[in-house]
Amino acid sequence: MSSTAIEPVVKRLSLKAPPEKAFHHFTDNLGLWWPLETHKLSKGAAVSATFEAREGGRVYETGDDGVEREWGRVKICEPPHRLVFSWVLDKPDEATEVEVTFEGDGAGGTALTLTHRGWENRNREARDMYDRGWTGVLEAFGRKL
Amino acid sequence: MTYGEKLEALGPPTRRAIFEKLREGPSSVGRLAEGLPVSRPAVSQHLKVLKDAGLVVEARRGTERIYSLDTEGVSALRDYFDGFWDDALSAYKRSLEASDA
Repeated sequence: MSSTAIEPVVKRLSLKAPPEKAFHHFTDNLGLWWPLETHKLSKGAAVSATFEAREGGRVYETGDDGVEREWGRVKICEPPHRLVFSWVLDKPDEATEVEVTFEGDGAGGTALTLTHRGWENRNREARDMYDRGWTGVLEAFGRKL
Repeated sequence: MTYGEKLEALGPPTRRAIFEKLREGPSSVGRLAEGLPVSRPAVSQHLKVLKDAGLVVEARRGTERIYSLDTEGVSALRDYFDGFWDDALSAYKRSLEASDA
């Protein structure tokens, strides 16, 4: 068994707004800024995007068919400096992870860093199950089908 | 192979489960089928779709075919998200700074 590490995606951005504002715009106003016309899971149009800014909260889009399609789950929510959420490729598991940090730049602005990692990791739930052995894993896979 | 095609390949839960199992390491059709309530031919069919999507590669070991994740395919997903976040974050920055008024 081999596993090749794949570098995380890291994005840095300077924002002309303080961390408090940048953080809340990122979460509370996700539906305002997210480019839903191109960045969506729905086959049809997606009408809104929602970020539930609390641990365990969901990040999801709502399609014009009314169906909510989950993008991820919030793992860590520390306003106004740090967010960690799972980022699913198309299913609600935790295959990859996104961390966004908001640091004041000392001049009233914010340095944002987004890190998307875990390309080769299996999800946390599965890892926990593997710790308990194959039986749990296979049962869970069976339940998900 | 586009990202959309890869996502579509990973759509059905059974196929996704096969992909997840291959994250653990290379496996044969038989061993993959053991953990799933589907037949071996069904697993083979799913593997073919994953292979066509560039997510899985096939190798021959003796008389057995062994499947493993195509690291290049997974890297392509990563590269896709590199551009994905550029687009999303520039939209975010525009929106945030426009709301500054």
